[in-house]
Amino acid sequence: MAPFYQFGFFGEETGLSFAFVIGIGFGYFLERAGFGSSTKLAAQFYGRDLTVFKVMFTAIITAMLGLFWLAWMGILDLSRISVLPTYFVPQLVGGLIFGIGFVMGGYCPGTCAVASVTGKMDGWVHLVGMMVGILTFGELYPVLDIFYNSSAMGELSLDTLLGIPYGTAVFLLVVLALAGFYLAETIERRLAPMKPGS
Amino acid sequence: MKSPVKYLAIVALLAALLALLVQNPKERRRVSLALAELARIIESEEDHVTADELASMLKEGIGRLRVIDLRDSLSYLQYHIPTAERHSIPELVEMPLRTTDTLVLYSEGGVHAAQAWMLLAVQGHRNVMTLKGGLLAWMERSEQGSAPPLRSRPDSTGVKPPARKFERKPEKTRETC
Repeated sequence: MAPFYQFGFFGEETGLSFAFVIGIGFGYFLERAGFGSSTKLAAQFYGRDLTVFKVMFTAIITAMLGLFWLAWMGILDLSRISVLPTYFVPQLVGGLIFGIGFVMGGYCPGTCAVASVTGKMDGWVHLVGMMVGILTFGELYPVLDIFYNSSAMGELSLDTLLGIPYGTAVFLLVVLALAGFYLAETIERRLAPMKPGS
Repeated sequence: MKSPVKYLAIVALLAALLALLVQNPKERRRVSLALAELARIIESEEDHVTADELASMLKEGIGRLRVIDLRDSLSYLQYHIPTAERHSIPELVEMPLRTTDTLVLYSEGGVHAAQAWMLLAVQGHRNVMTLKGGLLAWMERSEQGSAPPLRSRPDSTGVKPPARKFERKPEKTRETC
């Protein structure tokens, strides 16, 4: 019965060891997908290369369908899956700051780590900037505390938010993702730079 | 779309269509109970911890020990075992609990704690114990100096824990559990 950690198949130390191995694997596949390049990552904001969008949406629907069907088979207890609570306004502001940083630097937190270990200087600059940002936030937390914890909405999920059955939410999200992929490829074809001689 | 991607998209769509038919996998949650194992634990009283043992555990500060008070909030504010946190039984079964935590449940006498123990056992939690004899046993040992005295919250009503052994009041059936 999963989650294995929650059911005591292994302790915290072993769980962290697994997290380390999974993290290395995650970084490896990010790098192989070309996510160690700020040029490729930033290209999504100009519509030239929407790989990030496609990879992220693929990950979302794969995980979502996996969780749904594993729970249906009785292998996974969904009530033990941790859901991060929603703080609407602070997360909206945080998302904007994240987006600005992504456009300016060309990396997100995970991909800047990938770029750093492959020796890219801009990745290191981004990583150091991120650490400084974390430190600054930590120091300013007593001032930001009230805002940080404002507009708390609890552990939201799409089905409860929209008042629709879980299976319907899964279906709608998959249809949305597939439509998104089709649209992304159409945009890429239209906005891709012309190849010499074409 | 390229052909392998197209096949993956078809598989995802089929899985989503079937999800539409199934709707809620949570309703199919299965609970497997090793009844013989639970019966053995209950019979051998492995699910119990005495007041003296709990006092030692608190003194030694064993990792991830959580003492849970299952009485009502007023009773908790008046007095409770040091470090105890209060939760109702419905809250307890909904709480995310780490399997690496050791939980010690107590109520006034022990019935509610035993019922909560069984509910957690059904959920698969194994590191859960109940205080043998409940809070009454702790107070008895506290009077004899074997267990630390009960605590009260600063914002409590100022009611002190009974200095002497007290008898259960038959009209307060819920609190005597």
